[in-house]
Amino acid sequence: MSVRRVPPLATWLLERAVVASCKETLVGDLSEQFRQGRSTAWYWRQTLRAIVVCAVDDVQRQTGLAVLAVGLSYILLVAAGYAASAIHDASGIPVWNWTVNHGFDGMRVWWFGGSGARYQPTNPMLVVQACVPVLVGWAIARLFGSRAPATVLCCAAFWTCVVSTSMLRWLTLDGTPVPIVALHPWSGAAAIKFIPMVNTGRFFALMNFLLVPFSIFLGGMLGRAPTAPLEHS
Amino acid sequence: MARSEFLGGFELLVLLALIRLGDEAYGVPISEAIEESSGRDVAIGSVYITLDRLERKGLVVSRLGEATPERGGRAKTYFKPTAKGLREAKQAQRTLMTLWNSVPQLEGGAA
Repeated sequence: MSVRRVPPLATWLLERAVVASCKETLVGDLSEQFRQGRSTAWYWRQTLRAIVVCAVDDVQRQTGLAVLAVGLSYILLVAAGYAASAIHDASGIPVWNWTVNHGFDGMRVWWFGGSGARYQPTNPMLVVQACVPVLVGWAIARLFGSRAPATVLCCAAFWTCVVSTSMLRWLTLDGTPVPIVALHPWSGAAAIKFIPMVNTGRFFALMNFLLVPFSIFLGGMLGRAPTAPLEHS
Repeated sequence: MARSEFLGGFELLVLLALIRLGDEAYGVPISEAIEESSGRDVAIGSVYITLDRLERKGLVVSRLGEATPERGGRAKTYFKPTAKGLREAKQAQRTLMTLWNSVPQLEGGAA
């Protein structure tokens, strides 16, 4: 009698996204139940619920670390935006298209002046755009070690809220001012600026809304190597 | 007299299921016991997070069991209540019964 193979992607996620002293036991339990006849859908439901429950528990116990991770992700994405802008200005190469445009565009307008977005998205660039958030997620995972899953999920959730302003393009007319959180590079002061957004179409707005948090999460999972279970003191 | 924290609702369910199952309690039978009693779907991950919390409070202890090929070579972790855990469960029972008896609307299964 052949042994049923557990869903590999779900198991891969469980091993990376769950921070709990009982991670190995949990994975073993789900494998045991699956091989006794539970469905693939059941395995995935249990996986996703375990990831969320463990992350929430971890954030509740280490809230400061989660806040630190979100702040760090913001700084890393800001730095990437400014680097891209500097390269663009120096070389004329449209590397601006390589970064996420939403918050960066607002910051670019605030810092460099001018108005409107010079970002002109194209289909292939959406794929390249995912690279920076993936790298940010990866860096967060590497920096926060065993606390990576909860902190990466916090970052993804935070950036879901931030880039949801792009969804306003779907709802608003071209040129309607939408709030962008901008961070001044030297003084560190943050402010909400109202920038008239160029309507780049519903497809790109939706893709960016989905792409950034997913890319951060993917980068975090790639950066988190499965380690021995965390021992709680 | 030492002050103790109240057990959360789900913590109490897990602790009671643990006491009921005896020595062979681990995540799967505990979640099944709660599902049978409550009629609601229970995430095994939630059970383990709660068991972890109970262990930190000193109400349960754990021990590693055997690994099997069915579990992908991963060992089970068995849990059992401590003396403190049993006392907390009895205290919770006394508290709930006292409050329950003073709520006439919930007596006799009346809708």
